[in-house]
Amino acid sequence: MMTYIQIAIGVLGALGIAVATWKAPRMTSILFWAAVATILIGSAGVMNVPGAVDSNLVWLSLSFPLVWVLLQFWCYWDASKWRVAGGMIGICVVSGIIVFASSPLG
Amino acid sequence: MDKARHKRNYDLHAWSGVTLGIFLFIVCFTGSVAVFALQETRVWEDPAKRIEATTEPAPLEPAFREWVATQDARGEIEFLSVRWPQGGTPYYVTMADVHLDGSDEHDFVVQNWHPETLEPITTREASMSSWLVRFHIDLKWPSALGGSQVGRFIVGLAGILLLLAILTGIVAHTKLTKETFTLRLDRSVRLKWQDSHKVIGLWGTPFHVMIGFTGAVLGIVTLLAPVVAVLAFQGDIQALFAAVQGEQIEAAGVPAEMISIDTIGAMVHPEAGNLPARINIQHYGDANAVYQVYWPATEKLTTYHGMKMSGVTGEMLAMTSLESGSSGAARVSAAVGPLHFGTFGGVALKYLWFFLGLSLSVITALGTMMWIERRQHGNEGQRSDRFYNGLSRLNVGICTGLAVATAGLFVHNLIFWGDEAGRGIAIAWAYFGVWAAAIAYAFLRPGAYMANRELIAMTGALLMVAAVLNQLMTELPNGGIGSHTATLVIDLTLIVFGVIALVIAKALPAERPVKTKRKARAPRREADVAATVPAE
Repeated sequence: MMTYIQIAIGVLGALGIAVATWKAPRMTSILFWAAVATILIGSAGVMNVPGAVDSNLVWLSLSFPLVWVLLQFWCYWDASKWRVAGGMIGICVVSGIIVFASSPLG
Repeated sequence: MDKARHKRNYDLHAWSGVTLGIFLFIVCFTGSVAVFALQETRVWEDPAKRIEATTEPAPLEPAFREWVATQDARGEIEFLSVRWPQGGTPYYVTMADVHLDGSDEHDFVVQNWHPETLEPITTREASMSSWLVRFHIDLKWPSALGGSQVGRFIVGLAGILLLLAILTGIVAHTKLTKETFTLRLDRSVRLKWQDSHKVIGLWGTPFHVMIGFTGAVLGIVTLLAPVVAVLAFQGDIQALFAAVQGEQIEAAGVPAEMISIDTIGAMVHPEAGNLPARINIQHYGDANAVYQVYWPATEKLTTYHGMKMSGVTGEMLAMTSLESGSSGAARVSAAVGPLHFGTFGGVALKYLWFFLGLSLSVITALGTMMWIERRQHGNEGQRSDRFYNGLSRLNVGICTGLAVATAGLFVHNLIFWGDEAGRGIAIAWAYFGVWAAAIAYAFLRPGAYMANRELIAMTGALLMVAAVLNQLMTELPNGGIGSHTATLVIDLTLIVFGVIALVIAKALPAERPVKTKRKARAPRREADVAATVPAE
């Protein structure tokens, strides 16, 4: 059960990220959204790619740095800062939906 | 590439490589030293470990059974391990995790045995080598701030930063072929550093990419696994471990006679043709006892060849080696550690890894130096000379000071006179104390150039003093110089690197080799700054 303090911290954190994304979309994308997107892409992959779970987890571990770095690189490569932030949030939303719509492993 | 994109890419390179350059330097430099601290310096630093390697150790089984019975009387043995005499540990090592009777506490017991007499050997609990390795792996991150896991993650982030700096660095170079062969050592300070940064960086790219990638994998996985468990396993970390390790065999509760440790120790690996290095045992004395036997794979891209077998019947349950019995994922995963630490090609490869690791440290230091130089003596600086001078001294103090602190640790290991129980704390004090003193020294000298030169000379002198002191102060086997190969190799290495450091110090200038000084620029107006930022 979540306490009021935890809920308050969560709401404040979400607000902080929203303001940071509005004020500095590229910087927030490279520091925050790229990491979240990588974790969600990896989790969605592990849950849905066919094959042994242990092998998939190893490949996830190996691909994690590459995906993260490529997403970070894209943050400064794209000419539009809003396309970067929108793209990152879009990846997070789509991957998140896949994760929560998939059956849990184990 | 258009100008705006080039500028953004350069900004990212500067952000990832320069802003956090000092942190990258610390991780790269400590990693170079850790290559030897994993094995070679462990024998060098502790005279009790200087035992001549033997190919025919005395049978351990009777003493082992007696030792297991002693531990069994204290509580439930949850895990047993035996290491046969080899390389960095030329003696038997037995370990037991005992769940103490009537308590929730565990006691992890380690016992070292002489390979011929089976007399107990008392080695140091805290060691210089462990410190050097741990500082690279997790920065000795305090447990109050999250402990080793957080430290490993932060070091793993250095791998991510390094990969990003390499990618943006390569993209920033529009004339790759020309820059790979351009080294103008007779030109200005900035050009000399810039060319060196590019040439070392471009030639070393394959190694730097590999070390950044493997470092990131080894570091960030520790925190990634629980996150993935929360998402993919709905927080069930036990299910995650079961998925990775497979189902564990439970004890049958039926006593049974175990296969002798000495019998296992004589088993030659069918593919590698060598003897085992260690065995992990679960449920010792039970009908369902499991032996996990590991053979060293020193010239393969994996740490060990493994075999899982019944400890009662000897029936093989699973076998893994680089050639057979493991999946592609397992093979790649097993290669990450040996690739990162250079443990698959003998001492020669370790020297190569050491020099390539140092080259990476030099690149990161040069990047920071160039960034400061452009601002202190070029047209990009908006702060005072005093600010950039301080930054330059701080850079020298941290980077070269780390080399002094590392060399100082070798001397400290020999002259430590306190109680052995306090050695661990003393190592920390010596390391951080010398490092802090070096930073202070860099601020006290007339200039950063002179401080850098003198600190490099100090490093060289300390390395040579450590080698000479070791020969004079410690008891070598058979009483002669060079009677223990690993010790002699480290002593010679210290002397050679000491001489190299002294030669470099002598060759470096004591002050910046230019006559003209930059005029302080007025801060740019906001309108001018806005005009230089590309439109998006």
